[in-house]
Amino acid sequence: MFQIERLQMIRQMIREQKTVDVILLSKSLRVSEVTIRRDLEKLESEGILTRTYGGAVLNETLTVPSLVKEEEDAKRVISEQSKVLGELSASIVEDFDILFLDRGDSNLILAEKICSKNGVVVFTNSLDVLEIMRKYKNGKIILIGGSFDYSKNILCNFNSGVPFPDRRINKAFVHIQAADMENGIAVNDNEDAYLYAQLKSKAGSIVAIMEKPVFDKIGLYKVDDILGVDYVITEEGIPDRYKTYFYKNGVQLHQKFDL
Amino acid sequence: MIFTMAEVSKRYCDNVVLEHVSMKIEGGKVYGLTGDNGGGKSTIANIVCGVVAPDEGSLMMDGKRCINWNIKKAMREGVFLVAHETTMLPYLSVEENILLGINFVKRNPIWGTFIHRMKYKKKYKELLKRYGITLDTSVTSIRLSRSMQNIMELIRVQICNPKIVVIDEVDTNMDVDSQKVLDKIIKDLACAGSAIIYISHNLESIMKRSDVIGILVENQVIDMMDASAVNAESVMDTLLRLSKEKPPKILLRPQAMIFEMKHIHNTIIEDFSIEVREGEIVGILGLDKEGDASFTNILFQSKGVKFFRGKEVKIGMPQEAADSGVILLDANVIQNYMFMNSSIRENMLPYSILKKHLSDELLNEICRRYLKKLAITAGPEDKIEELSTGQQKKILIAKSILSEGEIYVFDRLTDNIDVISRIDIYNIINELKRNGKGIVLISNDFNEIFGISDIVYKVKEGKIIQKINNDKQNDKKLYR
Repeated sequence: MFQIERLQMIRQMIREQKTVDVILLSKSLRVSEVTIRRDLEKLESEGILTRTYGGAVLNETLTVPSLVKEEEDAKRVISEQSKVLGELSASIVEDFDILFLDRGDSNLILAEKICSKNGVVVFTNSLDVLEIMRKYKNGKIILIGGSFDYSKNILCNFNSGVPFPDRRINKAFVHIQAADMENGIAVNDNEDAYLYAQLKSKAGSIVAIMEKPVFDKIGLYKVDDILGVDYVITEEGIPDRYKTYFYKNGVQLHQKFDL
Repeated sequence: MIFTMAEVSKRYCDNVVLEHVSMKIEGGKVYGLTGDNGGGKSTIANIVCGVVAPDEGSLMMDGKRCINWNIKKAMREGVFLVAHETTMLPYLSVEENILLGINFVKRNPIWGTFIHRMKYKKKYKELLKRYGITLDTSVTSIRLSRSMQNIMELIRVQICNPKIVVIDEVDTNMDVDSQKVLDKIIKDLACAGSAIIYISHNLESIMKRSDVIGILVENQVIDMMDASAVNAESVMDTLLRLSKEKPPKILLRPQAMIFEMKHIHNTIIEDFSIEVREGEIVGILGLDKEGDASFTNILFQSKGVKFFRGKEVKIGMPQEAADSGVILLDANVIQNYMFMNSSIRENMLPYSILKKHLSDELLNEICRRYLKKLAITAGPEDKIEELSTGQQKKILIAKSILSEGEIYVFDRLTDNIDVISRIDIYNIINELKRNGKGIVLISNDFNEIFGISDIVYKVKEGKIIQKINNDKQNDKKLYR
């Protein structure tokens, strides 16, 4: 087998399995381990993978062009976890829903998926979300006004003089930074805290997106009690007692299982 | 006679089945008990009759504490259990079975028992006459239908002048004639001063037969209501209102048809027709766990036609179903699926993988991968019997997934398992749905079926009485 064929096979394998092992590769491709290492070096220089001890891992990136271009043409990198959470979020959206999306990473994936649904109205303060959905013809994107914040690429509604939209929202997708049984849920940014307070009164359901590191932490701005949310989008490995507590108290808990 | 349960709790490992349950049972009244499928109702039955001991709380009979309560003590005090699973000894005659219990009731030795035997023989024969039962009591009990066996067990208890009779799910799939006899027996027992705890899923039968109705929701008995003051709908409403648990629901657009069953019929089922599409969860309420009205029977042993992707298929046994792409996991008889003394690996890998003759290393790797995917903390070589029921069921789900079907049928998958496994299983089912599989869920848990399914079929007395489109987010109004 020529190197070019091997490289193609390794590219495919690592895309599917996320990691490859030098010894297994050398056995299945029937070449020496040294040859495999050289192949992996080549692929690493292409930017597809990163070599590790005994093998390599896939470089997971999804890039989103920023609405405001910087000198280096900065791209926003979205982690694999956020991708999974975004897909989970998308499966609870119904046609003709009215949603709010905050600036959290997974909502960029959610925004992509919404483009294939019908009649969805999206309120957001994130210019990145707007950029992704600009071509969405089947529904509406409504930008919540405010003062432009360059570092977060959002319009900051708090204290801007621009009123928060007075419309009923079905589901609000918000990223939570800390969750604790006794101390409730919290965010670490005062704009996010302000938005949550507005959404609590206007939204039918709050969808809390919570990654694993969020649990058993206390944050800067408490926004709600832990049972104040209606849906939780999370990943594996969260403490069992939170899972039980949510489920027994009427909170729909969504978690991805990779089958 | 007054029997009280006070603050009784029971848990199996981390799974809390009863939490601070208190009940007061008075002679002469019928207490109907219904509710979730978490095993709580049967656990109450078992605790009252001494089959299991509570972890917390106390039992009192007529003001006296029941210490070290067990089956023998319970029976001596006149507390008896008649459950869906009959305990008639199959190769003894009906009469021998009925008179079997006398030795327990009367303590005194030989002579006493002999004289009493005559008395009880006369008694039961009178009862048979009273209820219009004309069977030959010398036949072996295995010849009787399950319904009739349950009736005989009730008569066996009745002749002992019981203080409390616990009737657990005896009316499921009971024929009409036996139902009439059951009515009469319950009335006679109540008139004679016995207290009856009547457990059932069938709201109408509970309404008909009970004086007081208790609902078991989330491991607690709530709302002991006067039966005459309520109707079936309000009981259902209370049940659903109090049950806060919400299975995670996802929404997908309906896709191509995979599996259709048309006009399936047998001795109990009439004209059963369902459709299952890609990416769809079909829930079925009202089927039995076993017998003619069970899905296994409907799938394999009944008359009618089945279509897989438009082509007619013959499915007479599990292998034929699997070949067609229909994987059945009947968790009612989970013992039939598991080799208890074997490792997890031996239980997880289906024949379709084993016949490829892969190396041990590779098999272990596959096993480990699925253990990780399904969040089971154990290794491939660990013994399956060491896992909790919920984790065992996950192993069987892994096996189903490895069998690569297009339709997955899960019968009573989430009965009697811990909460974490239950949540995980719902999310696993949702993932199968996302992957374009068709899933059939059979259960009597309204909350679960309406929580997670796209289409719900309600079965009653062998017929599909309603087909409901449930494609919105968890809207409780649809429960009617």
